[in-house]
Amino acid sequence: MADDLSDITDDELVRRAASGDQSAWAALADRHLASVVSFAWYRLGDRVEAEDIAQETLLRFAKKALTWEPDGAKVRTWLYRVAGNLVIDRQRARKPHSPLEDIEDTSIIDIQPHLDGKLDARRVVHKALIALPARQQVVLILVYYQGYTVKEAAEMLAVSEHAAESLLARARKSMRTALEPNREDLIGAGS
Amino acid sequence: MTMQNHQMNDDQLDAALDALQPPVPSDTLVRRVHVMAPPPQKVFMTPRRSAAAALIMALGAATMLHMANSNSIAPTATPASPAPIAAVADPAGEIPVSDLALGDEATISREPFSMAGMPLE
Repeated sequence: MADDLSDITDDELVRRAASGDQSAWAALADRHLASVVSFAWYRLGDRVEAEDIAQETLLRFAKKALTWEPDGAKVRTWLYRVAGNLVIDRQRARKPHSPLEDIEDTSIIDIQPHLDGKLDARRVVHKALIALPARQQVVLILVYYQGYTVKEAAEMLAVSEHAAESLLARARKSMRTALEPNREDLIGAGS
Repeated sequence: MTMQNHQMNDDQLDAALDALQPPVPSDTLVRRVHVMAPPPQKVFMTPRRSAAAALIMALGAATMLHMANSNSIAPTATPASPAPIAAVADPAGEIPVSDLALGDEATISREPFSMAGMPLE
């Protein structure tokens, strides 16, 4: 059912969903849900929290859809902004403990138990990613992990393309520095 | 012993970053999100809207009642009505209808037809 709507724009899906078309809403949710979950997961390192944030984001969008203006912000930009704000709320509300403590229990979905080395690599990389300043972190997630162009990331962050490029370069440099102590293990685990 | 103090190159950094693979949304989350579809748009009545609607209906009803009462009252100046034919003292019917006072001068037809539409001699 939702596959039939794959060529329809987000705005059109929103319009249909707002008029009661359940399949349009399902298609819209399927189109963006995984991105929102992964975005929150990269930033928090906790699968349960990431899914909570994705659910809350889509819930808010369901309400917003009734008054959605097609020529305004893009759907994905709206979703990322709301999810980003919810991530910040979670970070502020968290008790002062490392979010990485939860990674092993909540996000191991595709790693075999005997691949301990790879698991450690994930923890090291995630720790470095979460330690980045927020904007560097977001640009790196959007561009590297989620496949958006620098221009698209700039639009989502409401910064110039040049500024986004600069943020991305600094993010990669910071990641290199942070990962350097584990370089041999990481390269071995990632290759 | 080789020196290992140079930084990771882009490929090595990408390989390290690739160690992170995000979770896919759980089936439970997908199901929950699917049922969040916006409710169909419908007109809902707030107290203020209800009060406004009642006021408009009351005004409409009062206006219609006023108009109905106005129509039932006989006008003080009745429009000129043609005098009944029987009241004209013309028992023999010799006076042409066109000459009878059936209305004001402007509206009286000067055609020599009787009231029945028959041409008069």
